[in-house]
Amino acid sequence: MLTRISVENIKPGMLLAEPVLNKHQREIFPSGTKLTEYHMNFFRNSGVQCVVIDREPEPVDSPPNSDIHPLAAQRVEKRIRWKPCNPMEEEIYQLALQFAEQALSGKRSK
Amino acid sequence: MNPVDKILKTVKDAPTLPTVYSALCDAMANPHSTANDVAKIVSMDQASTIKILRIANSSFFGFSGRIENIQRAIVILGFNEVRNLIMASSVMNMFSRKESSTGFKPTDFWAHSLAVGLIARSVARLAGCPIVENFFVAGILHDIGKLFFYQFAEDDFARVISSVKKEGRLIRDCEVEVFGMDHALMGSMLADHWKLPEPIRDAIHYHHFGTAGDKPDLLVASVHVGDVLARALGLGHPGDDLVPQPSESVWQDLKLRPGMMTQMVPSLLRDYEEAVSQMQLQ
Repeated sequence: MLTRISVENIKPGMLLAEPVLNKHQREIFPSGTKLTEYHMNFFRNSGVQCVVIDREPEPVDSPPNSDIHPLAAQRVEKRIRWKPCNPMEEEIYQLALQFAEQALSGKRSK
Repeated sequence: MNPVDKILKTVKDAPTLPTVYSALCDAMANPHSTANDVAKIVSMDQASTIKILRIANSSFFGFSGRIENIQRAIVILGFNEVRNLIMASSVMNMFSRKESSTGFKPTDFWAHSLAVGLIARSVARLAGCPIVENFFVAGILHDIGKLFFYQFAEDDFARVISSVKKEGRLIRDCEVEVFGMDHALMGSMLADHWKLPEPIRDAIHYHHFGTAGDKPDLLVASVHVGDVLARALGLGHPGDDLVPQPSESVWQDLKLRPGMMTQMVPSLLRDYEEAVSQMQLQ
C-alpha cells in the first residue's frame, strides 16, 4: 500500500515507493531505496518534508537482535574507519553491517 | 641486496605465461585467424579447455550448460574473453596455494579476487558499459602483486603481514615500508613482464585510486569499487581487514545510484559461491 508520510515518521527499513527528487526535479534516491538514519538526516537537512513508501516497516532480513546489532556495528567500525559522506558510501556501510549481522547470527559463514 | 633491488631482479626472472597464451595472442593479432584456428590452439592445452568450458557454463556468464566446446565458447564469449580466461587461469596456476605460518591464505586471497572480478563486471553492466570482457579478469588479477611478494619474497612478506596484524593497517602501507613499493605497482610490473593488455595493467596499477589519470576509466573505477565492496561484505580475504574509503570520483564516472549495489548483491552471492566452488577455493 502506498503511503505518503512525513520525514519525521520514517522508520529505518522502510522502502521508498516513489523516487525522491531535488528542487531541480533530478532524482536523488530511486524508488526501492531502503531508508536508514542517513536518509532521514539527509531529508531533514535538505528540506524534504514527506516521502512515499510502499509498506510499513520492513521486517529487515534478519531482525536486528539486540545482542547482535551492537556487536556487528562494533565489528564494522573496526574495519570501516571513515564516516560515510555520500549515499553510495552509506550503502556500502549498511551492507557491511547487514553482512556482519548475518555472520554473527550464523546465517553466513565468515 | 635491498628488498627493492631483490624484487626487481626477481621480476626479470619471473616465470612466463604458458605457450598456449602467447600462441593465442599471436593468432588473435592475425586478422585472418578464425574461431577454428583459435579453438585448435586452446584445445592443445587440455587443462585450459576444461577450465574455459567450466567457467563459460557458470551462471555468471549466463550460458549454463549450453557451451559444449571451445569453438562455441569463442563464438559466444569472444576471442578476447577466452584469451583473458586462459590468462587468468595460467596466472592462478603459476602460484602455490600453500599456506605459510604468517597466516596469509592464498585460497582466501583468490576468493577475494574472484569477488572483485564478479563485482567489477556487474558494476560495468550497471554503468551501461557496452563491452564488459576485461572486467572479470582485471578483478581477478588486481592484487597479483601481493601473491608475487608472498611467493618470491616470503620472509619480507611475512614482515608485512606481521605489521598488518600488529598495527591493524592496510597491507599496501606496510608493503611500501618493507619493499619500497605496494602490490599495485608490483602487479603492474608483472603485467608488463607478461605483456598483459594495457587496460588490465592499468586496472592492476591504479585500483587503489579508481582512476588512471584525468579521464574516467570505467575498468579502473569498477575494480576499485569491487575491491571496496568485496572487503565490506567480507568475501574472501585480501590480507588485511580494513575497508578503504572509496574514491569520490568513481560514483560520478560509473553513474551508479543509491540502491544499485544492494540490488546486485543476491546474484553476486550466487555467482560468488559457484565461482569459489568451481575454483576449489573452499
